[in-house]
Amino acid sequence: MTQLVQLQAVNESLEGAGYSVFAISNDPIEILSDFAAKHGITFPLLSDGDSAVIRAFGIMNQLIRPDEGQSMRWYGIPYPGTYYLDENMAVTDKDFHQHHARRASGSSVLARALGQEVQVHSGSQSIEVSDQINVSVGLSEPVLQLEVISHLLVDVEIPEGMHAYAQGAPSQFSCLSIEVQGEGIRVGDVSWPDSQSLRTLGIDAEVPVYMGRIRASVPITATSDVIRLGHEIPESLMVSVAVNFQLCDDYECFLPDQIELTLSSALDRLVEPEGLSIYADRVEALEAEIGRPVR
Amino acid sequence: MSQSENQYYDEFGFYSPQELTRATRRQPESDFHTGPEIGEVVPPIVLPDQHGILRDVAKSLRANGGVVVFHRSAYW
Repeated sequence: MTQLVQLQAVNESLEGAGYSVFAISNDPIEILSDFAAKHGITFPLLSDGDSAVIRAFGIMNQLIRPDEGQSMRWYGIPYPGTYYLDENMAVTDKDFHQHHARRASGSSVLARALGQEVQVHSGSQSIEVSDQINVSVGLSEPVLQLEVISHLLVDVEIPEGMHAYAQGAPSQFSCLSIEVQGEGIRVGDVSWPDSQSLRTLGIDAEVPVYMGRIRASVPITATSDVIRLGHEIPESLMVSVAVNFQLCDDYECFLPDQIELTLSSALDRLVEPEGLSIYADRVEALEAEIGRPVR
Repeated sequence: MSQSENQYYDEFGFYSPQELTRATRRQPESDFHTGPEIGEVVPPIVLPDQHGILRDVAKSLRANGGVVVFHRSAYW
């Protein structure tokens, strides 16, 4: 649900870049119509009521028995996932997660469709710190959402004439590294840009280094750890970022150093499921129809 | 971990106020089938949209293609 609202936020950009957006579920048309009206969804929400397309794709959830959750139409739901298609319906990329709650964020979908890098969202807090190097961090979304994978973007600017060592450099050098921590967040592996090779002091080999301005990207997700029965979901999450580096020029190396920043990100409310009242009505109607209680 | 927590956390550490035994919380194996692979042409998609209008995705794709999202439900 929340995912559809995020997709709507990037729909115009996707259409502008020549891509159509479609969402498919086994929801009846009236449910989709209500949802679209309530959340201003303009792209097509397709109703695969008998799961024919979901089955044709081979992605129907096989873990739900036909007699389970009848009133909610659990049987026939797909494993959630995203296909990126070219203009001839061929898959160019796809994204499925084993855990049903995980999703790529709207801006991640946009970047992936366009084959571009995820950008810092102007609505996210970004922080800049200058020391020996200049570090600025920001998020791809104005708010983090539970189990939606956004990106933390870390820009590092290395002064002219200097370099920082990249992964793969000999162990006597401290490589540029990023550590991200915070309560209620999960982070993935850091994605680094390609490094350059430099023949450097005292070593008879080329060493991988970074020079100038580089951007690293870290998948970041607000986890369900922030929810507890009977407790309010916090308004925001704190994200601590530490950048470790060692700068060198052609003649000497400085001591390894670290820059630490703390970013605050708003945490979005979940889209409230309209389903509960609809569910109650459906259970009632179904029980009246079949004359016995349903599961 | 308290008994009440055991009931709501799955093996991924994911918390939901719905019991773990609920059918919709079952997880597929890590190598579950995720449909057409990269490079393959997907099956035809001709379905009604939220306005009840029949849409043929193959005929509605823009110049560069499209993004097709399969989701569990818009209302639960």
